[in-house]
Amino acid sequence: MIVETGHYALVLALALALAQFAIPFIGARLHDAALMRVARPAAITQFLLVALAYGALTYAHVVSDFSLVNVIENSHSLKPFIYKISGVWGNHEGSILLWVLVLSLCGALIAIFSNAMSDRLRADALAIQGLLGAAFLLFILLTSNPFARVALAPWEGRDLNPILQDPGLAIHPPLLYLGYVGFSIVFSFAAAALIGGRIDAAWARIIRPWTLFAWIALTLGIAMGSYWAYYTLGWGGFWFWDPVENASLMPWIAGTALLHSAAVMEKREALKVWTIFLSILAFSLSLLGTFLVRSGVLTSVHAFASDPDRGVFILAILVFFIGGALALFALRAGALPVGGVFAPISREGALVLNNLLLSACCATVVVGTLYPLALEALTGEKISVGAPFFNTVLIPIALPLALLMPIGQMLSWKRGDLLAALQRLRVAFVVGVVAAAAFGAWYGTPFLSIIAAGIAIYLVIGGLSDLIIRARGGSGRASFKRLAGLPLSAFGTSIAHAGMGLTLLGLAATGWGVESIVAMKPLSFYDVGPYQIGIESVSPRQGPNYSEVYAVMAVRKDGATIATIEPAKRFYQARRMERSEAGIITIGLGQVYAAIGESHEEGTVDARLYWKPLVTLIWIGALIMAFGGALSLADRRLRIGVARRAAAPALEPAE
Amino acid sequence: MIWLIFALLTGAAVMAVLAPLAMRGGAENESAADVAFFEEQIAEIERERSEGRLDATDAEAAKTEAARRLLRAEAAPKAKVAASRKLALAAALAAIVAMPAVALSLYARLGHSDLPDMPLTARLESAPDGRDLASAVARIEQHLREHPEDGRGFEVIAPYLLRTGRGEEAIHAYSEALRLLGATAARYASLGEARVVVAGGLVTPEAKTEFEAALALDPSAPEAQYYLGVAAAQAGEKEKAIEIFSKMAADAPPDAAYLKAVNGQLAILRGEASAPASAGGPSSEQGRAIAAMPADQRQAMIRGMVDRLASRLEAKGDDVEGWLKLIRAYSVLAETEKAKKAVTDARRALASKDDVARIDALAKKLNIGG
Repeated sequence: MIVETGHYALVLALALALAQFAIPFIGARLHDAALMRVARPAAITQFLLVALAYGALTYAHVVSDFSLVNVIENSHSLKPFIYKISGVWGNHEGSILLWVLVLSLCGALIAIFSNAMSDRLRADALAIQGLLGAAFLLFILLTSNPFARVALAPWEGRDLNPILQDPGLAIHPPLLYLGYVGFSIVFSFAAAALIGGRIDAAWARIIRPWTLFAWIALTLGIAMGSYWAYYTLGWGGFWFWDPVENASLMPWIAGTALLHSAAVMEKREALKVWTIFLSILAFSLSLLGTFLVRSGVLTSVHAFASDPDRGVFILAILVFFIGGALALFALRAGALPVGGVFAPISREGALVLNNLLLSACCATVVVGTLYPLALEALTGEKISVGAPFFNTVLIPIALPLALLMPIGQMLSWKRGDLLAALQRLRVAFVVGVVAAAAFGAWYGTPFLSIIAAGIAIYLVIGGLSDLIIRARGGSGRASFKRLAGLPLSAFGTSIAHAGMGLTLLGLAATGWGVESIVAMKPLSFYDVGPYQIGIESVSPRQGPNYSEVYAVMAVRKDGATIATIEPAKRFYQARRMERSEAGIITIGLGQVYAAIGESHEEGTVDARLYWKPLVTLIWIGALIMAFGGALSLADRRLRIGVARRAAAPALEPAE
Repeated sequence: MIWLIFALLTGAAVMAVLAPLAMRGGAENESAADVAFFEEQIAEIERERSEGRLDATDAEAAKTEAARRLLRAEAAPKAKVAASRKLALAAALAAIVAMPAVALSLYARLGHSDLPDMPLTARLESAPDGRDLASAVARIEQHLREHPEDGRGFEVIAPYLLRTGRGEEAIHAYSEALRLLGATAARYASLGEARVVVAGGLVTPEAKTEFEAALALDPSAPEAQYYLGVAAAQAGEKEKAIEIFSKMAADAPPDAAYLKAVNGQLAILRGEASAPASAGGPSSEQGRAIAAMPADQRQAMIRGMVDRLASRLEAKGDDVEGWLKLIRAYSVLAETEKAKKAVTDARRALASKDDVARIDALAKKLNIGG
């Protein structure tokens, strides 16, 4: 009964989503307050219905109700509880349901936090959100129904794909989806503004918190996904330029560009057309990513051609929404009034340059992801576009971008002084050069790593020095008071930029990593960077739904054991699949990483051993970036619904 | 009951649309939000100027710009926002009719209101005894999870696990039975046999220890003797193997079921017969051991080998011979779906066109689409 109630709630959500689109949309055209008012309760109720459906599916997974095809195919009665929950989104149907859940959550959030905007803008935005919801609900119900039942239920399920049975994966998709789908809010507002024909600085202020919110979630989601790949795939890499990963990177880059251009639009009413375009682009790339991952087109172009239902449906959704939005854009963009003017050397100018470079990065990733697919579809030839292509093209764009980031922060709006900005950054320059020399002396080549590490340090110092320069002067107390008085968004910018610097440092340090693939004999030690690793024992162990062989390895430095790690190789009975579990120990900011392969009779074990200096900075940097974003989001002036008349000027000096 | 819930849900959803339509008034000034925004922006420019981050002329210019927009927002024609009762009524009627119609017609097509929830524990409790083997096994497994000290349960379930390809679990069950119920020659021998099956027919040193323990308890235990013979043959100690099998053949009662297998081994060892080729094409040594086994064990073992081949190819796919072998094996085992999948996977994993052509040729020959 719970299951079928969930199923019905999902169908009902579709009916309500259609109403959420039609009634407010007509209301906005006819300027009818009552019809427009429908949007908010409809959006909230739609979310509750989808949540009910999602809860019912989760219940079915938790109690192992094998009358659901989805549970049979992706669960197992012995699976640990947490994976019964995360297994709900560890498969196609469930993950699309989660997608729709987040989409309807976004609709509900707009409905709740949209006091400070005109009724019409809100009604139109929620109508678009309703239309998006309806399209995806229809997709679920017609092609990917998680509530499909069988009358004769089997006694055991086929278990969840073992590589997905991991705590990292339990958190990664929801975060990623919050990011992906969070951009739908911005998309809906862009479409609503184009339909309504009013786009101004106030609009930019409305979308900025949502952009930030989606960007933070996506940043965390990508970081989590990359860390998960790092420790479960067992080959020590954290980014494979796999189309699935690129699918999340594309909207992130577009979202980053949007974040910056929306800032310009809010302050100066410039870059309107561009900001609207980016708003459409960010979500379009999310949709494209969903299409790539969910249509099966990546597994094989052939598989897609032989079972095209899902793919064609998503493609139709994609074409309808992206095409529709771009058509609207083409119709209305020309009529937008031009905004404030600015000199090329100014904060605005720097942000334009930032947008150009980010767009180039984004285009590179799009081309690198789609080109092999197109080639395979047209000629049948398979090529793989991987790290060499992306590194060659992206590094020359990304490093100058990193160099420019602190300069942009130092320039003032409207008309800036480049020389003065550079002067203020001289400390950062010097520290960066000294750091590069120090890294070079300590770790040696490759030169690219040395240069990138220098730029990274410059970026961290440069990002933070904006705060210091703004606070400096007078006595210590006065400076501190001034620092405390700076708006949170200024802290957010500086901290996010510094976080980017840390991530860059972590990436640069990959060049100094040590890798060694050895057949390890028992009781002998192998050099990995500054450490020695040796096997103490290899033994089998039984887990709840797997059996594993694990090795106890000692990590030594200068003859003294400083840690033990337990890399393992697991075998999952139900799927008859193997998966490696890396043994990782964090030492300082670096990590010793070991993964084991076959064990041989004479006691030797094939193993991959790595020493990865500073590698944790990649993810720490991402966390700091997200924290910076959160600080900006917490800034009172950005918070949704603050633009109320009386409160604003009165509170201003207190900041 | 369930339809009552559906009706309540439908009612709630329709109310979400009707309630705001029924409310009166509330027409708001469309430009109020904009006015507030620009007022705040002007205040912000003022603050930046006092901080010294904006020089006076720029601040003045920016302020003028914002002020102009503020005036424009205030002067914007106050769009007439009305609330027409007629329109609201039409929308309400449409919602009352269309929403349940869409929901019910779609649910009628997709839903199964007749199927109750089937949580596993409830099913296990209510399933009639012995109706089918799978439910019985599932129930015993459930029982063992709660009572891991029940050796009888492990003993009953172990052969079934081994037969259905859950070798590791079978080993676990056999060793639990041995631990909890006490050592007998038969239990040691079964445990050893499970290890052999899991090892793909190889009598591993571990398995050998079990068989030796069995013989220590009962020197005549036939399975243990047999597998030690196989172990000797696998180690290349032909003479010793022949000795073991000859002794077994001589001691065996004439109607013993294992006599045929023993004689088969002897024939192979003496070079009188060659091992029949089996599906997975294992090495000759292994092939012989497999051929000599009882049919169900042989099946389980072949399956184990095929699965290992499949997982190896999954990890490292550029091995055209391996793929060809796997596809043939699935086809022999009559697992058409898996064979199809292997064909698709192979096409994806193999880089060279020639290799893909070989896969395609085989798929065509075996009549596997994909």
